Parts: sequence; C-alpha cells; structure tokens
Amino acid sequence: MSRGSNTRRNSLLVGVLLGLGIGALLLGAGWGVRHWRANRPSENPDAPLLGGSAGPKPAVPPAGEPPPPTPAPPVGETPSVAPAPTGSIGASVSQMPRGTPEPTDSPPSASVVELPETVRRVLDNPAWRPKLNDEIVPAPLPAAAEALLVERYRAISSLSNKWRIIVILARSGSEAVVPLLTHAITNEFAGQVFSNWEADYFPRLLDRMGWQAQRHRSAYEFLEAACEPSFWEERPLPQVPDMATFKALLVKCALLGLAISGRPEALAFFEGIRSRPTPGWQGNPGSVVDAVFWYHFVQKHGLEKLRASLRGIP
Amino acid sequence: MRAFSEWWDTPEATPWLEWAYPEDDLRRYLRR
Repeated sequence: MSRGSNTRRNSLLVGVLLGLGIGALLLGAGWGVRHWRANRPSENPDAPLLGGSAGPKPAVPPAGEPPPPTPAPPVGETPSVAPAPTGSIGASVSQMPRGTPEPTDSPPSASVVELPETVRRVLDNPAWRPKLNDEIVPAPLPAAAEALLVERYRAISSLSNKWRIIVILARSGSEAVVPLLTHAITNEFAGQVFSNWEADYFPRLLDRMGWQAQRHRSAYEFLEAACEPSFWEERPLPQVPDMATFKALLVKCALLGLAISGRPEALAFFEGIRSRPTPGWQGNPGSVVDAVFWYHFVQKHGLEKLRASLRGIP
Repeated sequence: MRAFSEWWDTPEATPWLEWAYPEDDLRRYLRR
C-alpha cells in the first residue's frame, strides 16, 4: 500500500514541477516579446502590443503651438526683378515693385520713388513742352523727385530749358525752392544778354514765386519787397533792349505773384500801396489794379482757371 | 478779357480805378 502511495505522490510532484516549468517558460516568453517590441526604434512606445496602432501624426499642430516652418529659399538667392531704367542724368530710376513693399528705415531715393510722369519727362528732356493738363504735378512733390529736378536745374544754363523745371518746382516743391527761385531772380542771370523769349519769361519767375507764396511766408515776403520799383533800380539784371519796360514788368509780375498767393495780407498790401501819401507808390498804378483783379479772380474761380487764363500773358 | 471788363464795372473796382487813372481817362471810360 505504501509503495502505491509513493508512486502517486511522485507522479503528482512531477506534474507540479512540469506545470511550474511551463508557466515559467510562458511568462519568460511573454516578457521577452513585450521587451522586444518596446525597444524597436520605429515603433510607437505607446502603441498597444497587439493589434492596431496609434495612427498617423496629426496634420494640424495643437492649439498654442507654432505652425510648422515653411521651407526657406536657399541662401544667396534673391527674387528676380525687372531691370531698372536709367534716367538721363545718370540716376537710377526704377518703378515701384508690384505688391506691398516692405517697410524700411532707409531714406527715400530716386531709385525707389515713383516719379510723376511730368517730372520724368522733364528730366529726360528739359525742352519738352507739355499740353495744358500735362503740367499738373501733384503737390507735395516727392522729396526724391524734387532733388532730381533741383539737380537738373543746376546742371543746365538756359532759362528756356530750366523753365519747365521751374514751373513744377514752384507749383509743387517744398520751401527749399524759395531760395532757388530767389537766386534765379536776383543773381543767376545778372549781366546775361537775353533773347526776346527770355526777356518775356524771366519776369514770370516772380508770379511763379506766387505759387510758393501760397504755402510759404518767405516767398510772400520776397514778393512784397519786389513790388517796390526801388528794389530793381540798382540790382544787376539781365540785359534787354528796353530796361525801363523790363523793370516795370518785374514789378507787375511781383504784384501778380502776391495776387496768386491768395493771402488776405496781399489785398491789405495792395490797399496800403493805394493809400500811401504823396508822392505815393512809384510804380505803374495800372499794375496794381490788374493785381487786385487777379486776386479776386483767384478767390472766385481758383488757380486752375487763372493758370489757363494767363497762358497768353508773358 | 471778359472777366476783367466785368470786374471793372463792379463797385469793388471803383476805388482802384479812381486811384489808378487820371480823372479824364476814367470819365471817358465810364461814358463808353
């Protein structure tokens, strides 16, 4: 009996041991598989060990994170631009690029400022004569355009070739134009023998100063002084056959300049001339009457109408 | 110029014309 009992006990022990061994093997295999999958470099560690996946990475970044960077152009490459046309005075003049320009702290230059068409044409050919409405240049003139015109003005000597530049600068230029015009009137052409055309147009520098006098007090004050016949008596002037008539025309155009200024003090100045005690104002009174008329004309009709009306007047 | 002629006939112009032109000339102009 004890022999049979021992046999059953040994069989049971062997079975238990076998079961433990198999279990140990299974546990070891399971751990090994898990460890192997977890350490594969291309595998998502958070993915389940068996079946399915964590799915593709999200295309849109979570809120609060910066968007993915866009590819940058290769270093050293720049956007292609059209070749810039060159102005006749040697300055590079290019058109504004299409699209929105980026802000820059650089000072404006002729190469980046779009020039009004009239300015461009005058720079290309100072002898160009515009039609009536071609003459209009928006004020204020861009600083770079004004600088180019002043440079061009100084580079040429003929009054007839300077004239269109003067017209634009006087009409739309900054106060820096006032000393330029003053110099032209009082010094620049002194002693030159004028042609008939120049003799007719030189006095018109004074009524062109009137356009500046609209905006700049210094121009107005110059014109007030130039309305005195004595202002011209001892001054070196261009030479014309009839100097007496020429000086009277200078005074007349200075009066017209004050009228063009449209300033209320201009009318007060005219009234002051009229009310001077004997011997009174030494110029031609008819010129003052004309100026008063033009003053009221400008007040009523505006400068554009005046400009059209004055085209026949030297 | 028409505008100029019209202005001459206004009261606004009268003191200027009386000041600027000899009386005989002005009278001749006003009689036209």
